[in-house]
Amino acid sequence: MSTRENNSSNFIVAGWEKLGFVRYLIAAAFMWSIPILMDKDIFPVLNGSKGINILFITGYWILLSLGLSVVVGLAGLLDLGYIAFFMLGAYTTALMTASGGPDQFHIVTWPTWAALPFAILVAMSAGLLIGAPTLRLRGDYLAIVTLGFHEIVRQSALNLAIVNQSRGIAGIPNPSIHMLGINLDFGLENELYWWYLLIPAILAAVIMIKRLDNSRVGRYWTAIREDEVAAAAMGVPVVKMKLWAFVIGASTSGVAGWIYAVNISYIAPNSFPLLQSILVLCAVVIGGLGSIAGAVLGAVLITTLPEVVRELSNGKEILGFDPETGRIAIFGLALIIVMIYRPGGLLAAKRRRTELSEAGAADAVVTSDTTVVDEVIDERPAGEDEVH
Amino acid sequence: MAAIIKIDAVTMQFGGLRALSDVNIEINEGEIFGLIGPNGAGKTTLFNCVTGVYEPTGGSVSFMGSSITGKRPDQIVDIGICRTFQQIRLFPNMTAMENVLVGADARHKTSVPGALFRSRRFKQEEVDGEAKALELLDYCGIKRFANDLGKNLSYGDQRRLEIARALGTAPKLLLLDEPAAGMNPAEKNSLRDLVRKIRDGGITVLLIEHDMKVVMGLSDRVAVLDHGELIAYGQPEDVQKDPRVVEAYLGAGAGGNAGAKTEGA
Amino acid sequence: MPLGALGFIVPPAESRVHVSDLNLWGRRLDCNFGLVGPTFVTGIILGSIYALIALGYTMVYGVLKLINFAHDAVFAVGAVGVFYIFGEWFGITEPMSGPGLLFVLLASLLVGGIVSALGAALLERAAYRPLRKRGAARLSFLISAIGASFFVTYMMQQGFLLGPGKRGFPGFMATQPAFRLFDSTVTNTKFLTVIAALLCFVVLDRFVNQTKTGRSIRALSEDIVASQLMGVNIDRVILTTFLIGGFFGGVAGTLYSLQFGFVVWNMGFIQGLKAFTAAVLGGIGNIRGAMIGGIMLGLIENMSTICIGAEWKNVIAFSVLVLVLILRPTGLLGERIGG
Repeated sequence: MSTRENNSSNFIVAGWEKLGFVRYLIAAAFMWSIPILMDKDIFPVLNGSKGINILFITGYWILLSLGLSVVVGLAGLLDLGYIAFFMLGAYTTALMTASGGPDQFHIVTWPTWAALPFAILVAMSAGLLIGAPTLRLRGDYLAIVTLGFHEIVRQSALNLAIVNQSRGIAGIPNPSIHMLGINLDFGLENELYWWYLLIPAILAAVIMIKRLDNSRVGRYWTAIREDEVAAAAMGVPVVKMKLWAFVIGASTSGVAGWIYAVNISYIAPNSFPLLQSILVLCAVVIGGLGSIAGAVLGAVLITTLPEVVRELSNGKEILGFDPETGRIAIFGLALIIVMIYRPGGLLAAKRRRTELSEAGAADAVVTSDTTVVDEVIDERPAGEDEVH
Repeated sequence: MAAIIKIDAVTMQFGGLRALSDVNIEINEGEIFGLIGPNGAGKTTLFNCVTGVYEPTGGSVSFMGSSITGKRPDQIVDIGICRTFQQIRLFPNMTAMENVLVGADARHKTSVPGALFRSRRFKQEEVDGEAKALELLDYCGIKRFANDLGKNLSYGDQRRLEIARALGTAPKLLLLDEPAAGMNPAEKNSLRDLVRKIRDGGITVLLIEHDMKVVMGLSDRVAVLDHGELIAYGQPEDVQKDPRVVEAYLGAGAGGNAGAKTEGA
Repeated sequence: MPLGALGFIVPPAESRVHVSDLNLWGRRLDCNFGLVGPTFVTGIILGSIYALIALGYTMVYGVLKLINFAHDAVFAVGAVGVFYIFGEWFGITEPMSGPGLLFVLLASLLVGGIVSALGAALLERAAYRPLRKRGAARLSFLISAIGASFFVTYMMQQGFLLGPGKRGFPGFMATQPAFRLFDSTVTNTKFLTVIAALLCFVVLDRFVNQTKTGRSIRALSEDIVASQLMGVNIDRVILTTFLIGGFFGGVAGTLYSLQFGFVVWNMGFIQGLKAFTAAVLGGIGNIRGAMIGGIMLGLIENMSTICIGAEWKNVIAFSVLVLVLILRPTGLLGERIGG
């Protein structure tokens, strides 16, 4: 994701970078106009109300994808339970607003907007909570632990009466703005407003990631990815930086959780299956690790492609293939193919591509210097030249 | 000259294997100190004990009066000790400039909030960092490679880059692990000059090196390890003549004496 | 069985003990210690299945130091294979008895094992080997494995394969009560499961410790470079490891389906995760650890229902996973693949 990567003679990229803040205004304008373009049938089969809905889903998927991109793409940590944060954000929203029935448990009943910062905070805290004991584990173990964490959160929600178990929480109020002469009620009638709400959220996430990437933080994350031992030897506080990645990555899922909850107004544990965590991972990996464009592309692919296919096939099965579930099989296959032939994904940052295809000294799979004890327990793995 | 680092009765045991036994070394500020010994003697293990990669099973290490035993590697850097690796561990897909920047970042304080909100300190540190990195690249003679990826540099230049990166952390004590390994004589000479330059700039240097000419020519004092034990310690000329040292080297097949021509000298 | 003698250990079924000073978040725990017997039995039985599946994880980890994420699909594939071969193709679905039953039983276990073994070999060839040859980073392997697992699993959900619901497993072995133990009825299938698992472990343990191939596997798990220098054919040994792990996974799958009577497209998922937990609990990379871990997890998970409701079983299992990885990642027995 580095902007000072190669002396790229890519004129277009260089020119784009020079625009500075104006870039974001242009991007916002473009995003604003997407629904209009959709209405004019520029994008196949995505028009009308259905199209707006898909756009909205793609929107919060972009938020999720960007967040996971920080964890997996920037810091190189495999998180298989990312949706747990999303779920916690959504539930926080539900428990802090006037949702559900009169005997429904509420922490407080505040206006919908007030729940947003708390959703973010809870998601970030969860990132801290799960990260603190586990980030010194090696990659595969961390992956499994995050998977376990997701299931623990989900299954707990299924069993806890406080959050209404499997029945979930309904009636989460839509947000509205009534001030300064503006009267906006977000709801079923004004579907476009939801998309307009997502635009600043997405742009904020992008700005956040770019700023972090082009700073000491981003350099430290890259160093950790490249060679964790050497990074520590150069003063990088590895565990602390990994924790930050987790926490920052979780923040966007908090926003996404809030938006999801107040839009759909009903959440239940089964709205957040483990599958979704894996799908966000697919989006990030296939779209391109370590690049914002890649994360966006991945999210778009995962959400819109199946819809397009389904429209084109008129909802019927193709060759006995149910588009709804079959797409997941296809994404699974795509993961394998991408890892073999284009590691780092479709739009990967160049640096990331070579990182993944060439294992570093301590990272290679078939090597003689790996022992569970050193790498799993120790924050300081044995140097490869131990007994000399 | 005051002692800058004291390695006090350090022992390192790995299960049944005793890699270091009761090693006592004091290095004075401003000197170039050589650590030599045959293969497997425990030199890198000692480095690892000093830099926090291992925690010694016995003994202690103190730096400038305070104990550093058992601290983490990144804490050690903070205290003022930095190292290079025997097998080069650059960040291969980062440019030379970025590599050194990571080193320089050790002295910076910008964290996530600062980077997010573009604090004044962030901006200042970015400017300072770039200036310092360029300066160090120049100092080590590789400024022209600033924008080349680490893995694309020649072997000798990679070694210099590792040193430049370590210097970025503004260490008071620099540990070099076989910096001359794999270099040709011309490169070794210019490396020697670089190490002297570093010492003359006020940094104490502890170096592991196999090449006797390099080590004896550079070091003010030398320590010899063999099978984890300290067998000699003092001026290079005296150590070279020490019969135990000669035996350790001849026994292991590596040459040690000034005049002798044996393999590995 | 002289249950009377055991009577002083196992409380009678009707004893319900309110342990009023056992407090969990301010609620009184309602522990029914009469359940100790039955949950113990269930724990051993389910634990045996975990143990068999865990073998696949532990062996691959021992050799490649990699979590074989796709093993859950391998486990399922064996059971599904038996479903198709015995059920759909040969129509052996009516209960059998006598030597005929024995034959069909052994055949089904063998077929299940072989199908899974082949699946595992295919997995290794398609998703792992290309990455190994390219020297890819560890992250790539993990992602590829996840992809493989999802590909196979969701393909099985498609209409032309299993479809979305449970499918009845060929019922050639009618479930019948065999004997009573600790106040619970052990059926023939349950008994079979435990015996089969035990046998498999004994066989594997001997294989790994006493045969040449087994030694190669152990050598590889300790030091790949040295093994290569000693002339071990790495690709072949890795393939063998996958085959063996896969075989036992398939046996486990068949036993599972025999016991519960169905196959379903996602049967591998939760079992796989729990089996992985078992492998880690016992000491990943350690075969005996897989057995011990499996049994222990089965016991912990099931005996917890004495005090906590059964709906929390999965949470308990996953919590064990998280706790073990945080507190003692090497597991109970550490990581040596041999005994």
